[in-house]
Amino acid sequence: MAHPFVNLFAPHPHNNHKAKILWPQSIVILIGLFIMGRSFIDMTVGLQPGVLGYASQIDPDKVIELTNQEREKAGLPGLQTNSELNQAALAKAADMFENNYWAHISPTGTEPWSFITQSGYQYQHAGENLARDFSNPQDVVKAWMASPTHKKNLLDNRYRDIGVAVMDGTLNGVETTLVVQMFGTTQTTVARIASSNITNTAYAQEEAPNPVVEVGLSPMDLSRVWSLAFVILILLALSLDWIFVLRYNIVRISGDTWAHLTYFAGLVIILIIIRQGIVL
Amino acid sequence: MKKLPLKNIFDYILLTGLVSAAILLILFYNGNKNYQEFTIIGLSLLYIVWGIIHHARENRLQARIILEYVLFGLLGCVLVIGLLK
Repeated sequence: MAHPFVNLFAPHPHNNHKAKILWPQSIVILIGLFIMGRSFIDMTVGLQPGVLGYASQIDPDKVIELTNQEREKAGLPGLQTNSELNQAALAKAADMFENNYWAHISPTGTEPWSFITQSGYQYQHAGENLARDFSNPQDVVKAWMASPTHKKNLLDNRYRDIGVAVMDGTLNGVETTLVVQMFGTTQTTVARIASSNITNTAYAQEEAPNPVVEVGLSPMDLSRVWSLAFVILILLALSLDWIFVLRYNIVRISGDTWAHLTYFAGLVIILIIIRQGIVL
Repeated sequence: MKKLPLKNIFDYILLTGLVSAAILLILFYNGNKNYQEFTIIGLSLLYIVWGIIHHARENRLQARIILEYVLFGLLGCVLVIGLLK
């Protein structure tokens, strides 16, 4: 009788020449185990927000600088930092944490434009970009530029002013960093119009940013490790399977191990390159 | 020792191309989880289709082989979407 480890990871007459971990029932079990593990991570985050946290250090001025660099590249004029828009962005970020939401419009129906108006900025055109869970300003701006709607906002020729706020807090039990970017053009006509095609927002903090220190293990990092562990386990089993099949000329009814290896090797790269932030 | 599985080189190049394209799309859409989810679902579906066509071309297609591709595709999908959620 083969050792259980051999049975699990290497093709052998006792496992019908296929590592047991690659059997269909084992894959179903692995999917179940993965989902259970993810649920455990989510529950830990929900029950003890302090245990897993995420915080970053994003300088709002750098966000503005990078935004202006992108506009410059597109041949557009740079935006001026506006204290009222900064204030509006800060108010929006604070409202999202206070009311525990991540959206352009609050659950009570408050639109971004009301924060701008409350700050005293009389806008003719206004826009908002949002981002969360990024660790540096470069990635935030890159993500906005990669999204057509956010890019449109960022490179809108109608805007003259910008305000950005960066704020740390807890959303749905997870410590996070929100970036709010607000664009605007002061009112030159009587009508005050909020651009209908603007769907993104972003805050920049006008005052000295709170230096935020990495305070804990990011749930995203833990999830990444959890996913990678499964992929690597499968890759290990597939590699052994491939070597044994070639070495011993094993003939059996099975999928193409080389194809599986290609697919899971791709998944390893994908799991590594996925960045943590999201934009809205 | 058997030769490396290069018999259907076109099939393997195609699969490598699909996986590479998915990696590039994931990289391009970094920060936009919806698009990244679509990309990984698309890759997994294409991988399953690739497996079925590849084995059909070799006259080795059986129900358990289809099941194997479906389960591997599903596992891959779950592992990446689990990270994105």
